[in-house]
Amino acid sequence: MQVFKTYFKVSKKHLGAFFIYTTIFIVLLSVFVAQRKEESDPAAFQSSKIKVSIFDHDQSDLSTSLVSFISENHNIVKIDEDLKSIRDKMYIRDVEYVLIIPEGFEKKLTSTDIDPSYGLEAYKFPGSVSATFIQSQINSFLNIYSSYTILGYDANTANEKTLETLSLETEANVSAALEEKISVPHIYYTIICYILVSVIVMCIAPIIIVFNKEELKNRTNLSCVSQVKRNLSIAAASLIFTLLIFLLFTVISFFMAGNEMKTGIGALRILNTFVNSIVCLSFAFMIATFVTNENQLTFIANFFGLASSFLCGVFVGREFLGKAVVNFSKILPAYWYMDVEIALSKYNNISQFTESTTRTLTYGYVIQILFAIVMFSVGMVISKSRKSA
Amino acid sequence: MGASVITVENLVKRYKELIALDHFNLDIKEGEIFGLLGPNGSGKTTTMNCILSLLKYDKGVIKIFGKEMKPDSYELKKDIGVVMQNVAVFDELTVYENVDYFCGLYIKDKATRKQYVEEAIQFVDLEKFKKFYPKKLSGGLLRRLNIACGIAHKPKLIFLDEPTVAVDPQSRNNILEGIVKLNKNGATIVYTSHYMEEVEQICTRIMIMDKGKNITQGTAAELKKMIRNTETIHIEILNLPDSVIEKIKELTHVYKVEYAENLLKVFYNGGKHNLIKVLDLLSKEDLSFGRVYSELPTLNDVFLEITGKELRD
Ligand SMILES: Nc1ncnc2c1ncn2[C@@H]1O[C@H](COP(=O)(O)OP(=O)(O)OP(=O)(O)O)[C@@H](O)[C@H]1O
Ligand SMILES: [Mg+2]
Repeated sequence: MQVFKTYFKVSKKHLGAFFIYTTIFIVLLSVFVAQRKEESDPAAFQSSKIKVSIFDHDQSDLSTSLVSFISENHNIVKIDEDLKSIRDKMYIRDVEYVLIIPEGFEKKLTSTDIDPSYGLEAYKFPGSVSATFIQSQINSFLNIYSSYTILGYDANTANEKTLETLSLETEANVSAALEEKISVPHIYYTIICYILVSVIVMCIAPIIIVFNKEELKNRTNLSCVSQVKRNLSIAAASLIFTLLIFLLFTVISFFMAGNEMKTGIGALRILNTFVNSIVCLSFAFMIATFVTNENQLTFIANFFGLASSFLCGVFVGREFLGKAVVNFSKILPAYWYMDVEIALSKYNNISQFTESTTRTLTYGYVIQILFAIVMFSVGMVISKSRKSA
Repeated sequence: MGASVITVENLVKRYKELIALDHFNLDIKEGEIFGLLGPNGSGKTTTMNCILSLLKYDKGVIKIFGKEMKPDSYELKKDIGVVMQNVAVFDELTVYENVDYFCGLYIKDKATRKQYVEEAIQFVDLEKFKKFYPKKLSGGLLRRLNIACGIAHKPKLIFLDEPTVAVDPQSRNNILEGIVKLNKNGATIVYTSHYMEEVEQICTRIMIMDKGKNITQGTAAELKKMIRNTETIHIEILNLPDSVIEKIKELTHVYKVEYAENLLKVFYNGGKHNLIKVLDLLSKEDLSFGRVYSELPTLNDVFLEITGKELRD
């Protein structure tokens, strides 16, 4: 009890980090939301066309129809097809959306095994409304087109009929895309990935470091309180502290996006953040076993927080990151958190989930839990080996 | 003498190659203020930490209050207070909260604890600083806080590892008086230090150790009797001729004479009125001299004579 209570007394002296990161969070959140709102001003949006680049490797009837459909509605920009120039152009907003139609696209679409992205590859800004808008247009086009082919129409007729149907739907589509996609929960639960690791590590690790100081640890071990009891008290207090932080941010998200949070998707987001909090706690525990001062800790927390957030697509969409980077980032827990969040951001309702979505979610949760277990165990091994040294 | 409070038999402790304690024996009785005196690195802290089961040791039997001491001897630990060489307090807690934390590791009852904490703070004279954080305390006050944290639960056996290091003379005297008071109130004390004056001042029995071994033990008077030296006379004098030095050497009870940097040191074993005799000789030789003083043997002389080196570095 004594250790447990003292933990919270000590924690009061380390709350500075908590306030700093909560402030950063709120600032980041407002900046991101404001940016999306600006992009989505309906008047500006409808009149202006989106700058799109298309690389058509299929050159089939379908891909040609799709390209001509897009070019009628938007401005086509010619750029080189390599990652660097795509990224450069997108950064300076010369291009807002890049579509890559792979070879064999038509065959795949008209075969029975339909994949929800139709094998298309795209580059866009995460959460960008224009990108979401054009993507929903493309999806509608392909949905309707494939329906007509399944009904037995030939390529030409299917194309014509599709364009006809679409002209009726466009109006509705625009406003739907706009309304849905300034998704505050998505922005909130993306940025929180960066904030949580920083807050939890900077709040919890310093306290554990204090209790692990050689003199204090020895001195406590000399008393009637056993080492096991001492460690359990510290672990329990850290867990409670983590849960408080998690709860606080969950409550804030309800204030910011009440209705959208009161859904199955909202619940899965909360679960994801809960799992992520436990991962951060494990990480804090692990680094507290070898870091000895606050400067080192701040450095590690900031470096890890920022680097893993960048690599895992918190600040920039994954499509900007290149295959190697994305593959590499799989060794970071934030990747799996973002995997779940990205999957959730595509839906409004749990009932729309496909099998592959469910799989992504399950993997995401389970792998994060595995990360937590591994980091906790590494921490245990380090502290054991320190003790015997 | 009372019952044995601590017995250590054949304790061996190695740090890899280094043998820190070499078949070390110890027997401390109830009511003693037992002094462990030794130069830096002689193994005082190691001895203490082994007795307290903080360190694993290679060989030996350690008993406290007649029972074997193990890391999980919580019943024994209840009655032990420890003031470690390195100050062990939370920077994040105030003076009061620190004492309360350590006291609370032993005393569950809130009312008793509150009383004990107040008493401990009063004992080290830190009442004015209750709300201070350790970072705001001077070195001496911090040491006193460290002591309060170690003794608040009113232990029967108290270990103090160099509690006066880096403390000004005023605070040092307060601390030493406090230790004597704790002992008067019934606690057995184990006190380690490399300051012989302190040990001599308060300890009822002293063990001198070096290189992990017990060199000798006894009361201060007993230790001093073990050596030849009974008095050393110091005389500041310029240009002392060798012939006179030879004459001084022939005085009775003189066993050694040193002359360097205009300071004459004459070592005696026994004899009375030695000072008068040597000054008499100097005036007969028509030599004038400056400051003159006589020194009784110290524990340093004991250490010097047994080990051939100074206690202090
Ligand atoms: N953890 C350790 N690892 C290796 N050697 C150690 C360790 N702790 C102490 N020693 C060595 O053991 C010897 C005894 O050290 P100890 O700290 O017991 O001496 P001490 O008498 O308390 O000295 P001091 O007056 O400086 O406190 C020294 O030579 C020291 O260098
Ligand atoms: Mg020591």
